[in-house]
Amino acid sequence: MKMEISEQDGVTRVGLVGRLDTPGVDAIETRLTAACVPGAARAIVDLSGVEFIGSLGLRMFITIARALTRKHGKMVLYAPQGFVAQVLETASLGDIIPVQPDAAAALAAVKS
Amino acid sequence: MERSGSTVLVKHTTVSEAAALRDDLRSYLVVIEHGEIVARIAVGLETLTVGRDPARHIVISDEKVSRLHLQVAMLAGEVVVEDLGSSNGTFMDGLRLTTPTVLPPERWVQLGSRLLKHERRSHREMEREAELHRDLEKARAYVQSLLPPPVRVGDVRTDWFHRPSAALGGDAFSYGPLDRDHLVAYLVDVSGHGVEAAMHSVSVLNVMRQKALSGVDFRDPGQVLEGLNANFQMEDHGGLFFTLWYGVYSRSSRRLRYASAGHHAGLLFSGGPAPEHLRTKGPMIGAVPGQRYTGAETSVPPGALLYLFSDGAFEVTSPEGRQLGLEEFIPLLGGPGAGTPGEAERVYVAVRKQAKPGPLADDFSVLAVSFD
Repeated sequence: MKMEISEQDGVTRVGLVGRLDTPGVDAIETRLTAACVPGAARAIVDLSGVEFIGSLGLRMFITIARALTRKHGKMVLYAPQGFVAQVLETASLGDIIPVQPDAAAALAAVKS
Repeated sequence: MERSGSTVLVKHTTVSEAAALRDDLRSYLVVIEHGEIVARIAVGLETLTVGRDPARHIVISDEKVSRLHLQVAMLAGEVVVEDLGSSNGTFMDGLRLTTPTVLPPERWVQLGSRLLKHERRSHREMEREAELHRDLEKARAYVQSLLPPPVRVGDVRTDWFHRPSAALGGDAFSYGPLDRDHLVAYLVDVSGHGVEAAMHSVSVLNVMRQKALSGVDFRDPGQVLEGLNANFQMEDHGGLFFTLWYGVYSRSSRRLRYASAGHHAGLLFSGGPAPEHLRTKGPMIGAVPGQRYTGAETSVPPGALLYLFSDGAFEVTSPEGRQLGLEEFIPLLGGPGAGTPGEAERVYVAVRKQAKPGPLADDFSVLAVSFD
């Protein structure tokens, strides 16, 4: 699992490529949490390069999103593909964390 | 080491007592069958032979393994494997071995459907691991004892198969009568697997078995999910949540009420071309305080079959690295032999054949319910 984090116009942008299985989550969770939570970030996460997500991946996003909400930050996921989109729909993750189809919609949602 | 009734026999080599007691790392060859370790043998001064012939050091009863298939030797501190002209080959990382090859620690070779893995451990580590394994086995047996026995007679019969990906898993399920008319069946899948998830699944199972949800009518799936959600918020339970499918069948009306929380559909086969997908929308239990859950209903005709299963049953990776899903799993259900004893285990075997070698990544649970 590869992760790139950048900041632009007050929005933390996260790009993920690979599998969000147990080792994938282990590889990025601490860094992603550190990049988002302490600064109460407004963060958008690009899922277009994620080919698999398991329950630990869902748990990671929910935990970070809830921590952000408590600090008046926000996380929006966008562009889930195929299998990952199906998993997010089955889990009704959109009821917990906003999921948008593309970067533009995610940016609008995170700033609102 | 010998295991009666298994397909693997191992003959001991002589090991120095002094060497065995030191903390020096030693190499071991671990035989893995369908994701389970079935034998472990120390690699020492003597070259080990592997094959189908009972005279070998490691005997593997697999038609794709030759009578004398492979040898394993320690050369200059390295474990070296050499295919001895086997018919079906020995493979490392998908490539057929044609010359003696170093097998580094934590890597494996495949022959037939078996994996031979090289592990480096100290004797002290091996003892600790054996003790931990014994404790985990006891815990596994306890969790397994909470699962109800299959029901082979009566108008509603069950069959199931459960295989955690680690010694302990986060999957659990149960079923049984609520009253004279109503039967309940449910499947829980806690996020992650291992000891933490297993402990959480046991908590949930025990609350359900004892009906310890205040003010909840257990014939109402929506109420049950809301009651569980109120009692199992993730902040109060180590950040864990779980998905759930819960259904209540009425014998008199032949109606099945159900609700699901973050869980894929249960599948009802009623003789039509495709199964009915039974699922209601809603997030995992423990993720959203105060979440409302609404159930749904369907009819269960005579001869129908209901399948509940965890996502570990279908989210497997093929040998080519392709992610498989429900589309590959559903055809394995409801076919010849459906509704007969042992069907759930046959589904497991079929899934294992579709998946890449090695243990499944997640816990596997399939519960099949047949209705007269």
